[in-house]
Amino acid sequence: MILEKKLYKRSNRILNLLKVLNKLIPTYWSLFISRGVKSKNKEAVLGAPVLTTKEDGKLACTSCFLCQDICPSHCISIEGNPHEEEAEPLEFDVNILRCTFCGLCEVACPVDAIRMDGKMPGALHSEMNLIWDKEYLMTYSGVHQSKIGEDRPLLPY
Amino acid sequence: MFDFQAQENEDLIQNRIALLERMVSKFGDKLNFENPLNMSFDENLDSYYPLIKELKTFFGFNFFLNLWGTDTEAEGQTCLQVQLLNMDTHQRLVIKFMVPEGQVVPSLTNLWKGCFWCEQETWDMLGVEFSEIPKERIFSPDGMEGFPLRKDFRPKPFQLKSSKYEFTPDPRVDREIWKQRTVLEKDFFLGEVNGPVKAILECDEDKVARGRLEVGFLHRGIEKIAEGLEARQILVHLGRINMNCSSFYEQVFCDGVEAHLDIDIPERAKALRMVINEIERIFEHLDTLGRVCDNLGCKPFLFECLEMREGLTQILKEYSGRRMPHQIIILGGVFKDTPKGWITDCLRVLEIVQKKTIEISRMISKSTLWMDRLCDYELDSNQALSWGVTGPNLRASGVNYDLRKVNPHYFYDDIDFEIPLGINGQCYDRYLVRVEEIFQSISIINQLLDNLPLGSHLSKDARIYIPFKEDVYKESEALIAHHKLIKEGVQLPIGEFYNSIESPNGELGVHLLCNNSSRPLRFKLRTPSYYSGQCFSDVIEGGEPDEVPLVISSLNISIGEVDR
Repeated sequence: MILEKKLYKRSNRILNLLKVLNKLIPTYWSLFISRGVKSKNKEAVLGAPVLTTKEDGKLACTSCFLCQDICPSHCISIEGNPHEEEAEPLEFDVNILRCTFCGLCEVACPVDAIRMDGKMPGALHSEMNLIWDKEYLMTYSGVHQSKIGEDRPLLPY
Repeated sequence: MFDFQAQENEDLIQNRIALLERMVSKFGDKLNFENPLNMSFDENLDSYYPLIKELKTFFGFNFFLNLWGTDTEAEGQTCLQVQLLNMDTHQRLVIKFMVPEGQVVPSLTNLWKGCFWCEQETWDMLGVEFSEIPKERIFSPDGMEGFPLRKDFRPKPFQLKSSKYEFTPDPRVDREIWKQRTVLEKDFFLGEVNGPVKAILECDEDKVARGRLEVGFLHRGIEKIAEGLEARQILVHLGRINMNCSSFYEQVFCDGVEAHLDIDIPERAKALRMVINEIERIFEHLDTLGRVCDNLGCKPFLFECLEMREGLTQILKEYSGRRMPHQIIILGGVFKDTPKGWITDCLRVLEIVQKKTIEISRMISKSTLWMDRLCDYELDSNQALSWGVTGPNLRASGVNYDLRKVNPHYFYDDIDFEIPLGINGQCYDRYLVRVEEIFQSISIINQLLDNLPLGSHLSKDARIYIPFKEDVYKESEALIAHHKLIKEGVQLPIGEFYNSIESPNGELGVHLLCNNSSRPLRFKLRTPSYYSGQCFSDVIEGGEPDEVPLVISSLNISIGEVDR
């Protein structure tokens, strides 16, 4: 298909005026009635990572290191407890400056301990505020309970 | 009735057989037919230039696709690979040369101008020297020691050097006249063009005599990063190369890996991937259209384009839960079936997009002002082929080459659509081609959504499929499979593959060298903007320095794609 290419076609003045009016009226009309499309499905929107807790208020994490291994930007660092098996980690830091919010850590977690349900970080004063530790991840966006076995919206991967 | 299509296909097959017979009689057993469309063979470095010249002149390999190097296990040896394309038979060919340390390789810039950045990048990343190519760092910072893509590279602290580009004397004019020219440097950021870039212009009074782009301000080293990651992690980085068309990058990689592992994905997944890709194509073209309008000072049309883009973003967000890199395409299909009511939403938004695009194009296409400004900056077909330009920019100069028609994947064979062609490759032709492609994409999506196949959206092959969370909580088998896939990653068997797709800017290819582990040995991308970025220096000749952003946005040079 070769496109039609006409150079300097003369156009009618009355037609041009009608064209302008045809454009102007809907433009002013759209000030009162927005023509945009709004999303209805707001549940599936992903946010920043949070750590969930069990019913007794302790961390659900069992330091299996799967999320640290899968993270493509190496933003999670975990320090496990050497004395007990399947115990909650001593330290759990997320460097939010490196995080790309891809959601792979949530996919990797076998006990639903990390989730992408938190508030997105806004502007902050210092860089240090953006390396989030265990306590901050548990509380900054409210308390989330781990729901093993319940139906959750599906994530990528 | 005479069937033209069948006759054309028969001719194509006969041409290809004739070419293969000639190749076999010339090169004999060296040819490797592992992948019929991508032949490869090894050759001695002494016959580098004569061999490639012979292939270009006598065997019809007139299109240069890519040139890259790989650091091999043998000490001090680099494997240099050149990829060519025969446009009559759509035959791709890879030729491999072993280059010892310190040997100077003759440059191919006499045959194709588009090799220039490729050869400069090969020196920058691997230390392979080319004759006639200045030893300048194109992507990595000046003053750095060592070559990043070598396996024994360890980063060291270094002092940053500031270097200024200086034009060599122009052979076309007298030296005295050349000395009176002034050099202008202009920096552009996101907004006017698609990413940070610097244009260096040599001006003769108020006209540009010569110009070039300086890139590398957005270099992230994705090819180096990918060597340490497994397939699922590479996907996350790939989607962020060009935010406007991230699904193409994901699909070209997923498709290649699936073909390498012999996995057949369900039909519904194929159709949904096509729908997402075509939405992204409209998205990228609207972005280009808006930017061209912006650079000409037509702000209202920019806002119209942004509003349409917002509608498309909203439907992708409704699907996936995120706005820009939506990550819908994953290994084995798409990550989720269409949500309830998504198809009607999608069709409604596309109707609005079509209506508004018709409105805009009616208002500006025939306008005298629009033509005055855009009928300029010509890129004719010979230049485009020499620079390696593909996609709408090539089609605007009249060359009918589209991978969706030439080498149709998925259901592109069964769908009615046409390839718009321009005449002489001016900015105006590029604009017309892009607007027409928006309408064609809308018609493709409508046809697909009307006949969406039923079935699963994800292939459940054990090599790539991560089980659902509910199964992981309950069944021990699923838990073991889950742990294994996440700890070890997708195992890629030994071999190499090349896969390409028609992205909104041109041919997008990925080349992967695997070695029986989950991490690739070498990962190479052929991004379309890399080549249209080089042809800028031809297009801008004789133009005005003020219209540089117009030329860049009209060619749609996406800096994220160039720098990677």
